[in-house]
Amino acid sequence: MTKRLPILASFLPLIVLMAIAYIWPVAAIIRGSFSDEAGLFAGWQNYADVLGSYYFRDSLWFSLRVSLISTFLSVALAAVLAMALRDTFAGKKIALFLSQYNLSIPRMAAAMIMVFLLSQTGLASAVSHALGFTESVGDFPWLVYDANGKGLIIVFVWKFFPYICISMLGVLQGASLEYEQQAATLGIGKWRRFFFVVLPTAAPAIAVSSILVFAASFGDYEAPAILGSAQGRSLSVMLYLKYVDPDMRDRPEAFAIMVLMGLVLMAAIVTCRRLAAGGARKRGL
Amino acid sequence: MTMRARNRMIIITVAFVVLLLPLIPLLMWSFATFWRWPAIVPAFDGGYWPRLFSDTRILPALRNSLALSALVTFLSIALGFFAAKNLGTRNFRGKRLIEFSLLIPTFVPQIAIVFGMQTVFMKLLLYSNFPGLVAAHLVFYLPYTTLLLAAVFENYDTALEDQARTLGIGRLKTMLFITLPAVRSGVIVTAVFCFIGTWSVYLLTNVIGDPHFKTLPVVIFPLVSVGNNSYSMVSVAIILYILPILIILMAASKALADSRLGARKGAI
Repeated sequence: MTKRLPILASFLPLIVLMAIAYIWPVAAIIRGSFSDEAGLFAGWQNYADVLGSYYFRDSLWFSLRVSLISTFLSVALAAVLAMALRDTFAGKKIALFLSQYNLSIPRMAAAMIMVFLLSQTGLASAVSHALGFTESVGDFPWLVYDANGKGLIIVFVWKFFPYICISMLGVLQGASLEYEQQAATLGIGKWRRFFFVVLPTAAPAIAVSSILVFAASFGDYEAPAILGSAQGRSLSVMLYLKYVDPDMRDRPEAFAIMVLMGLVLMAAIVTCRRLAAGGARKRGL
Repeated sequence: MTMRARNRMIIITVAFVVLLLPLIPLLMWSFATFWRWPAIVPAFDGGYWPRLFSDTRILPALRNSLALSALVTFLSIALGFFAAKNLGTRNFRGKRLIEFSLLIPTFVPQIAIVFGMQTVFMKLLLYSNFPGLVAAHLVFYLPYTTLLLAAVFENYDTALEDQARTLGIGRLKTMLFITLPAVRSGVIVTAVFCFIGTWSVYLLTNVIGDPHFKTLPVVIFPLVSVGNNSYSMVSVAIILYILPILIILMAASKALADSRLGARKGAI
């Protein structure tokens, strides 16, 4: 009994804060998602409206696609960099440096940095003109502000791939080496070793960090708000516009979108924890 | 599987270029008022830097951001410290549930909760004032800090503490001279990540925050989202937005290298 009390007491600030400032708002959002604009119970109507709307499905697809492609490209680049860094003496230090600096640049700043570099009047476009690849501003491809979210993908990959690289290095410099040596002794070639030994060993670490990257890019508001275009709209920007619209008729639908977004990410957390636990078991920890 | 040295050097060099090159136009814009396509280098005239001190928004916002992030970081560590210690060093019923709940505010995007918070904070008179702003940040960064600190405490051995207690050393002394020094670098790393997290927050501060206490992202956002023509001013503001983070990371680089936490859990 004497041991119980301090444990509960140590969680008191957290519990009080989360109950008042997180659980209550969540309850308000869930209630809002089942009410009409007058606050009367509306059943599943808002969800039906949202899921039936072309704009919602379009935005959901846009956000899912952008964050999945960003995650996939980040993993691919991270794998290449990690394989290059693993044998170097200073590899870990370099990767740590890069991952911490890039990851720490706020998304708003990262988005604007990419505008300066990649917009049609940006530095890359000027260099391409000087080299004779393009003749006018319009010749340079729409990399930012485009409808397919290319600019967003560039921002997310730029920010996140060193982070995935770091978590892969941890595995590649440890457990994986031993298995690879065994495989090499058995005469297994280098690409087969990569796909059948290295990747499976690093899989749990890759999975956990990619889910983190997926969640961070899926839910981001600032980068899509800066780099978005009228055609391709991410879910977070759509939700924001629906909620702040002076005509408050869209608010119940906005609440339903918030709940759906929360559910997607709850699924991500559960998967992440499963994978992390599975990975720890496999490594015998 | 070892890679040939030449290929390795190429990959590492390309990675550095890709990661650092985008900063060049940012730096150039900050020193140039005009930069017309297709010039590769602008006409440097000092840009917005000479006018920075007469600017009424950027420097006060920088000061506000520093104050807010420092305060939120301090409060998160102070309020989360003992919870994290219990999570990291003890086993008790409900531990997994608590760990899971702490992940939710870290994972679920702020856009999905911020408007619900707005309604509740209005009822609690915490809307559009400073205490409300601090509370709103704590909602996300107290759980985050607690999780990171709990990971620090997982590698912490309570044996020394128990010995101290057996020797009759008081709780406060044990805490100050035994517990804190042992987890020092972990606490520093956690503080750095928490600071960077609150430093990047825009939406929450804009929706819940105090209109008289504008932080740097709140000042920068309207400048960048409207096809703005003063890129030089935007660049200066963004450099001032990134610089404190770089300084903090450098100052904490020893702790970051010491702590295994630095490699595993990033400041997402």
